[in-house]
Amino acid sequence: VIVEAFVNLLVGVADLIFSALGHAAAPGFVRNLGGQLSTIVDYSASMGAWVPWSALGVAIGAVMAAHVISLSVKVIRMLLSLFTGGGGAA
Amino acid sequence: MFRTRLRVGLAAALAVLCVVITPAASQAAVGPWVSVTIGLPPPASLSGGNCWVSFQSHLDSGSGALMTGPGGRCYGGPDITPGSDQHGEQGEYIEVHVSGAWHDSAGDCEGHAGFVLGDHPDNGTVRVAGSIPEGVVIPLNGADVRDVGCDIAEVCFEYFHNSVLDDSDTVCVSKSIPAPAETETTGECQEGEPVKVSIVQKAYPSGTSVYDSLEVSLDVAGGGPLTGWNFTAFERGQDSGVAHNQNPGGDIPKGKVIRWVRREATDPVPDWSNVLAGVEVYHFDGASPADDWNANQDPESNRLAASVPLDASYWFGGITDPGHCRWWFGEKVVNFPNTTQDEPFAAANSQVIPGPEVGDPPEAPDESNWTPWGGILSVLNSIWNAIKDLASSVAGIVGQVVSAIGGIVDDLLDGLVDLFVPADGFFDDTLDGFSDAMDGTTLGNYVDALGDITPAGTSSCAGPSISLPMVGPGTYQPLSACSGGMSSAAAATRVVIAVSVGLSAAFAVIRIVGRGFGWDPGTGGRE
Repeated sequence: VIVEAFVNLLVGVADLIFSALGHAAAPGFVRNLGGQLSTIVDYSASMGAWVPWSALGVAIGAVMAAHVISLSVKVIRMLLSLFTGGGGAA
Repeated sequence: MFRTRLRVGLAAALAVLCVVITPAASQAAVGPWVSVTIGLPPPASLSGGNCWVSFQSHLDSGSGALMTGPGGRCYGGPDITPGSDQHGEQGEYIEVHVSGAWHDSAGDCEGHAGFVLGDHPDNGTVRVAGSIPEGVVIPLNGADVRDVGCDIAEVCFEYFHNSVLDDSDTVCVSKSIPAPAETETTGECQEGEPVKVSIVQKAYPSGTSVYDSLEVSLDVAGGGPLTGWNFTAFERGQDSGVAHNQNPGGDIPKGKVIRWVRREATDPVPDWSNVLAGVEVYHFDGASPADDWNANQDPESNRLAASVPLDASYWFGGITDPGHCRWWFGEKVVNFPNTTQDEPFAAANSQVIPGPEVGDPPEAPDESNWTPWGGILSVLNSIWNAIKDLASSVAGIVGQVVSAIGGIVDDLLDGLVDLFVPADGFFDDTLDGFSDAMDGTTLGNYVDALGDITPAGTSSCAGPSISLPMVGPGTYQPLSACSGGMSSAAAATRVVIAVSVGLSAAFAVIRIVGRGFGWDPGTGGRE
């Protein structure tokens, strides 16, 4: 299966990268970064009276879904072009 | 020019294809052939089979025969020929010969023959039910025909399938009998020659004690009666020779018919072969109608009798005498030029018309017996069958092509699915392996250090709290929109942001998806 082979290839590359990075511990600012990000999120959530976060979430999700759909369409067109001699190539 | 030539070439190829396919398609539907001859006398045995034929002789409005096949289509072009033109006068017979090659996909046919006299009250049907083997003769000289005294306009043969009259074909011919050739003369009526008497109609035994009908016909030549003759008809054996009808007047009129219909026998008849039916004709010159014919008969010199066993057969006979030469059935004994009255009816036999081998198309009809209706209908029937077979063949080919294309598409889709769609649980397993690989590494340690990012407080209209030590102790909430003008401003801001984000997202989705299809609405052109 092509997809499985492709994903396995990516995982293998990631493993290679992970192994190349070593096993260093995270520094202190990284360990505190989570709390700081939480504070930012807290501030943002408190802005709910001014900013429609739900609408933004829906919009962002729709745009991401559109990207997935567009990518899928392009892949399908690319595959079909293999049977049409290049006609309809993505 | 090229397109025109291409069209012409395709048309020619299609025509050739039709010519090539049509005979094969027609032949494929042909099975055993059954040859049928309908005439005189009836077949002795007709049984079994899946088709039946009914022959109807219409004296007033023509005649017809029906052929159907509950087991399949009966094909064939009948060739019918009236065998006699003894029409229009009392006591005469109707004889019609029909022959044809029939096809029944079930293999055989049954038939019955009959006649219908149009609106005449003497309508009747003589039926001979049963299968029609290779060649058969069906009689039409039913008992009721003889006293009709009407003309036969035409004789038709109609056949249909599965009793569907709308799917019938009819062949008709006008009544005619060709004049006999003079060379066929076989005898003359001579002075002193014995008068012949015969039973001329069938007896139909029914059970053991009755017969449906028994008819005796006498005829005399010329236009006048047979003066000085008397006769009796009898059934001997069952009733000991009791005369059931007689002519006490002494004159035998032309076309005299003696008929018994469904006579009940006194006792059950043990053996019909021992029962005789006959006609006796007595000649005593000078007798008057009041004379007792028994007293005046001269049985030794002038008694003429004929008797035959009562079985399911026909007998034909006639009466001739030196002064009234007229011969009906049997051997031809007299010749009258330019007339057919002296022609005997056909011999009582069945004629087998050899049919082609199974699977072969019907043979071309004999030109001597060819009839326009038969030929035309046969050709039209063949064309129609060919069209149906061709349409069926084309439909079958199209269906096979569509099925094949559908199969290819299905196989192709199945192949694509097998090629690109991973097995169930593949991504879960891969993600678990990815996490395991990342654990303990530098990147994994950084990710773990971040932990969960969660908001510390809850959302409310108060907005974020800000501490400003330089200004003073405590916290400030500059974006509090719980009341007053800030609330209205916050609501308006939410609306503006929501609309803007919604429209932007909509346009973005259209553009992104459109680019997937190679359409960029933002520029109006293709990528």
